[in-house]
Amino acid sequence: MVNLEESTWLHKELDSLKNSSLRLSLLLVIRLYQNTGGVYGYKISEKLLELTQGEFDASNATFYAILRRLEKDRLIFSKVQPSDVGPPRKHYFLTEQGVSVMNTLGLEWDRHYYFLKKLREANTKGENSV
Amino acid sequence: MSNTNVNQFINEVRQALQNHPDADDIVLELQNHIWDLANNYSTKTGAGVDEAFQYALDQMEDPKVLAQDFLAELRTGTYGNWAETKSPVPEPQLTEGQIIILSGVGTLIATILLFAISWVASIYTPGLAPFDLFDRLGFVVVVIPIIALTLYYRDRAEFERQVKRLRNRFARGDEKVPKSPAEQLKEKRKQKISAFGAHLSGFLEAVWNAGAIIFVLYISYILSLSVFNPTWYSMGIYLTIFALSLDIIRGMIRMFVGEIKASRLIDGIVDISSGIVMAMFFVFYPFNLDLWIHETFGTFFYQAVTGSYDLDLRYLLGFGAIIQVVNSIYNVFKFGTWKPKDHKSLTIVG
Repeated sequence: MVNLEESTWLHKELDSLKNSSLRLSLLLVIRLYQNTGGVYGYKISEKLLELTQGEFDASNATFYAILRRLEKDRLIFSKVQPSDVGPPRKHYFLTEQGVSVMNTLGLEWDRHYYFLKKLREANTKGENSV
Repeated sequence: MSNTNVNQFINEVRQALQNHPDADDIVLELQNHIWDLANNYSTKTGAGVDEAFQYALDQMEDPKVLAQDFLAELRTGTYGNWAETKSPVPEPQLTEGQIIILSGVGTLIATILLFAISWVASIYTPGLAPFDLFDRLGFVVVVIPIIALTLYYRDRAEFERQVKRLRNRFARGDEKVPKSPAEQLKEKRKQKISAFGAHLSGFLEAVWNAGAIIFVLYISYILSLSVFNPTWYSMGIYLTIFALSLDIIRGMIRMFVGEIKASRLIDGIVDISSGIVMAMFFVFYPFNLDLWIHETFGTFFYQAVTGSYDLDLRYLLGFGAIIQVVNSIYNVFKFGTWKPKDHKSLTIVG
């Protein structure tokens, strides 16, 4: 049974986990379109929902705030491009630094996942042997 | 509607962002996001311009909350609350295959309906065998899928026209955001007047049509015409009162809920109402067209072409009833199952 205090703590942890993964996810989605003219905000959110089966969803404030932050931190840059089907939009691209951060973060996520999995497995085995 | 509501939303975000240096960029991104949501929704559901924009705005957070969250997240770098997210995945649109299946179901329903009303009509009409009318109207069953497909392609063409309109509107820059307080005040006043106008015009429409019905009944009274008099006069009175009654229903809905833009539901109600009335005329046929033609034009036209004009008129009423019923089913369910709380089916302004 999770009490209120634990629930708040858990909620914050989950938010933190999801937000960290969202930042990397946005970089990964932008990378997909790096060589095809970049990608605009709505398309990023649509692709993200599609590839994560709706799991990585965020409010518009969160979503655009992250894009803004990434741009300010020079991990991505944008160009306003005309569109055949609507108004001109900001298309996002990764900077060299963005590509580097994306690769490093991706590897770190894999490494952390690998060790966390091992720890959980050991834990399960330990529980069974006790 | 779409211009006004999108502008209002954007203005509120802009005001809440105060003088943030990124305000212009944020507003532009949000504006494009709304357009993309509307365009995507339209593409998938066939919704019109106004309905699509209303849907897009419904998907957005409250403008003040959105702006405050945005500022907070930019300031602190702690991003968002995942519990308050909304999925922009729109409701599915009927596919061409589904509309063909729907046509098949419509055909089956129409056949059963036709059998039923032919049988009921025979009870109230001496000398009419139970399936006489069905024999003559049976061909209608073949026509049902053609009607349904015609409606489908008509809607597709309308949708493409609306998308073109939507794109042209953006290309012309109609969605520009008024920035000055004077412009914003003017915009708000306009919205209030327009909302009040929608309710008022609905009220006036209902009153006007009620007055018209009273006038028609008065005329029939002073001319000593019984409503049930089996002449062409009574036919005209019936049709006039029926048309005016439908306008009263429309007017009352406008009076209570404002202007109806995506009129899928109201179209369905009007079609089913006229379908039921036609079916009632078909069953309890109150006219005597043969007598009127005989009295007016003598024997020259009378039974010159067909056996009985009354029987032909009755067939036409039955045919019309079936078309209206199919039309109403199509209107209400063309974007999938309709639920009373499905606000996307009924876009209301005012």
